[in-house]
Order: sequence, then C-alpha cells, then structure tokens
Amino acid sequence: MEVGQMQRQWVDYTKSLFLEGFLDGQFLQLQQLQDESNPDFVVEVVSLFFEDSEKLLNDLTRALEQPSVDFKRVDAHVHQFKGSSSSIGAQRVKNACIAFRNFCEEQNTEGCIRCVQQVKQEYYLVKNKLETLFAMEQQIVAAGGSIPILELSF
Amino acid sequence: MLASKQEPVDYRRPLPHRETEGPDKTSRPLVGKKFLVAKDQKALTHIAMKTLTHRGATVKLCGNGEEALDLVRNDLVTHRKHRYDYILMDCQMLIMDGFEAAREIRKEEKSYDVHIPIIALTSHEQGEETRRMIEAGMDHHLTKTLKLDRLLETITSICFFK
Repeated sequence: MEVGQMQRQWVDYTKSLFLEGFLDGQFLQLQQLQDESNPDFVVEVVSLFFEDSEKLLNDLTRALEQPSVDFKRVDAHVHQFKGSSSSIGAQRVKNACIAFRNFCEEQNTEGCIRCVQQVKQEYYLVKNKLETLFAMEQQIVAAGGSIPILELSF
Repeated sequence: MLASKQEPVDYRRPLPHRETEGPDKTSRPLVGKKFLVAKDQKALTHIAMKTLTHRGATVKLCGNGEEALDLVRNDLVTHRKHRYDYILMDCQMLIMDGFEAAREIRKEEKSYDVHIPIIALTSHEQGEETRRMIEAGMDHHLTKTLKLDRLLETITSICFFK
C-alpha cells in the first residue's frame, strides 16, 4: 500500500472514531500538546491510560467481589476511572462510568456488576481502536510519510 | 520523514520525584513559576506535566498527598518558607487525598505565617465538592484534565490578589 492510501485510511479511521463517539474533543487537545520536543506524547499518555485502567479495573472487580461491598470505595475507583478516561477523550468509557456512579449511590450490587462489565467492554473497544490507530501511524512513518493534520468540522 | 526516537520511558517504575524544565518556546507565560503537582494517576500526571512545562514552568511531581505534605513540611522547617509558587493537588488520591493534605499543609504553615496557593484538581463538575475544598483550605479548583487557559486565569487572579 502506498503512503497516500495509508494516510487516507488513517484520516477515515480517525474520523470514524469521533463520529462513533469513541473519542471526543479532549483527544484533539492531547494532539495539540504533541510537538517536536515530544513527538510521541499522545502514544505515551494513552499507554499510561492503559496502565492506569488495567489497575483500576482489577481494583473495581475485586471490590465488588467482597462479601460486603464497600460502595464508597467502588465509587472512588469509578470516579478515578471517569477522570482518566475523560482526560484522553475516551467518551464512551467516561459515559459508562457516569452511569456506574448512579448504581454506586443506590448501593445496587447487581447494577454495579453489570456496569463493570459495561465499562470493561467500552474500555477494551477503545483500547483496540487506539492500538489500531497507532499501528497505522507507525506504518505511515515507516513508509516515509507523515501523519496528516486532522481537520474536523462536524 | 521519520519520527525522532525518544529515550524510552520506563512506565513500570513508580512515579519518581523529579524536577523538569520545559524546552525553549516563544510563548512561555509560566516561566519562573514553580509547581508542586500531587497526582496519583500516570496519564493525567503526564498531561499536567506537559501542559505546564510546555509553557515554561518548573514542575516537581509527587504521587500522593503524604509525599506533598512531606516536601512542603521539609521546606518550611529548613527554609522557613515555601519553595514552590503553587500546589496543584488532586482531590482523589488513594494514599492521603487532596483535602487531608491541604488541611495538614495549612496546619504546618501556621507557625511560619505563610500561605501557598493550593489549586484543587477535581473531575467533579462545578459545585459538588466546593464546600470540602474551602474547608480544607484550598484556594481554587480546576478540572483534572488541565486546561491551560483556565490555569492561566487562575494564576493571574492569584497574583492580582497577593
């Protein structure tokens, strides 16, 4: 595949992530912080997000497995997850966290367990999408091209 | 054009205490400003770090409220004044949260008659934790996904009212 084609694919893929609600404007803000002194900034932040998230999801799952669920603790973890997902623009994960917090407030264990599944699902979806996106970027760069500047107007 | 290779960052090690200065940039409104940033999530910390150093600030990172308190206490005991100009304090850290750290810092300050601006970082929408922040002695609040323009507004208002 030649570079121009790869670049067009990248543009279409990125646009679809925004259109399908996987990413929001915050992701663009991250790209604005990327420059020559820190050309891998976005990949770095997203990788750190993956690390934070794996830990948070483990903590969440364990907290909900306790014989007596500490909803305040569960809520604290979800709150953190909401914050970090919104920091990279992972909109659907963030929204899943918002819904989750309602069940924590109600102290509804079953509701919370369903929410953990939902949050996990959204997280793995966006993780997959972002990994695909970064792989595309690596291919473009390896072929001697540069990542297009994205202009979103919708 | 190949992307330049950066020195790989080892994300597995715990966040170290490190001082970092930003590269030379034309618009650096935060030059000369020293921030102590207390946060326990890596992605958010990385963003805050970049946002601040991008504009010329010097940043010291620490991973929780207890570490922030230790750093501040040490400066006060040794130098009788604060080393940093501002503290950005995450409210929801797991080991000593921001509220407790702020309360303890205010207690320490009493003997030295100093007051460092503490800016709370919260992902709560406005209003939800304002009372807790005020009671803990925090001066301002910003969202965790540090927005530069709001930060600059806050810094300006702090300087104006000094």
